[in-house]
Amino acid sequence: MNAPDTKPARSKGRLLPTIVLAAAAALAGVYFGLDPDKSASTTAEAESLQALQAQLKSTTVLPADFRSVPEFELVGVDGTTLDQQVLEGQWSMMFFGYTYCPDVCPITLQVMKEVVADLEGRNIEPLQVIFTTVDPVRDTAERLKEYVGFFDQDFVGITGELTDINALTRQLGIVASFTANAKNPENYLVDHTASMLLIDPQRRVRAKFSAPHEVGTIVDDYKILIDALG
Amino acid sequence: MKSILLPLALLFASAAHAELPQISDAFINQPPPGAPVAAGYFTINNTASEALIITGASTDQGGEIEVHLSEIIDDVATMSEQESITIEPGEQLEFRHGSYHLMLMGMSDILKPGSEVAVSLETNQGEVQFNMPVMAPGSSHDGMKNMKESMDDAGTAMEGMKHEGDAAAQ
Repeated sequence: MNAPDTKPARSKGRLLPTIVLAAAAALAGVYFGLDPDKSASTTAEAESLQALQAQLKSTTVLPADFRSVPEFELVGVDGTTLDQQVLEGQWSMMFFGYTYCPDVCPITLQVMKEVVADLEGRNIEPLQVIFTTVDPVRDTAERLKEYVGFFDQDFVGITGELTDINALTRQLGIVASFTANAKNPENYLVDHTASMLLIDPQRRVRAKFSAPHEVGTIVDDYKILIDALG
Repeated sequence: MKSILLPLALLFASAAHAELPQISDAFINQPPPGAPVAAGYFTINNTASEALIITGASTDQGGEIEVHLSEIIDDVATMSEQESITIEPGEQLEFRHGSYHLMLMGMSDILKPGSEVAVSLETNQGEVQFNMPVMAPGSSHDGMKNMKESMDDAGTAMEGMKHEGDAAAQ
């Protein structure tokens, strides 16, 4: 005899999908809640980004329409105008620092030198390294040419008017703040964002590589990103 | 009288020597041309039964040295000059990438691989003198890997010592 279905609403069969759905919703809520400016257009894109994110060791992947590098007119190491076209048509890693930085900046550039060598050895999509100074008053084109060129002649150095540099950093969410030196005002320090930004050939900011920067981790994360987004 | 002096001298000498802070793995990372500052790293071991307080550093070879701490806070790389660093008895402290380091100012033109800088640390246990050879970047790979470790265990490193007085004015 078939009795009518008298199971309670929270039957075993419906509990698991409910939990999974709630967890996914919570995760999505946390993911989007982390940055209210973010605007992943579809749930499918959000899900595939989450799957990609799960594979990355020390990097945050960003939706394609999150942020683009704006047009800019700055100065290259030869003293001539450098604009946003330097980013177009290839992948670039942008790092922001200054030469009066004894520890973090030279080490990061050395790491990137080794990253590029590693990528070239493995025939992975070439990566252009761009070092933009957050201290253009002291870091002239001449100084940057020596500094950046020491690591790799192909590395791009960017300086320019302080207002133009600040406009760029502000639009990219990069922080740079000056700390006065009471003993010697000329020897001020600059706090600056430690992460590096991965820019795609269309000038979109696709990922943020967190510090501390290690060759192996950067190479692995870059490879995963290129495979998925390249 | 003479027969007592020598044993006494040796006694004092050995006692003093046993308590001297020990320095190891000292080196300066060759700065790129155009860089007005360079970073020096080393490990210091406080073998005495009292705290070791480092209050400064200097060199006779031109230029100045400041003691700094690198930190990354909320994704911002920052450095602050340290007025004093205290290392408890029996503890050691690593000056390394991403952590405590010496900032050498105005000496970049003499900092080439193969050269050495004689450095003097000012401490409560006296001047601690040691040589720091200049190494080309990348030649000290331990330093590179250690940056992550120093970031990770910056918290535990603090347990063995305390530091005070950020000299940088706001």
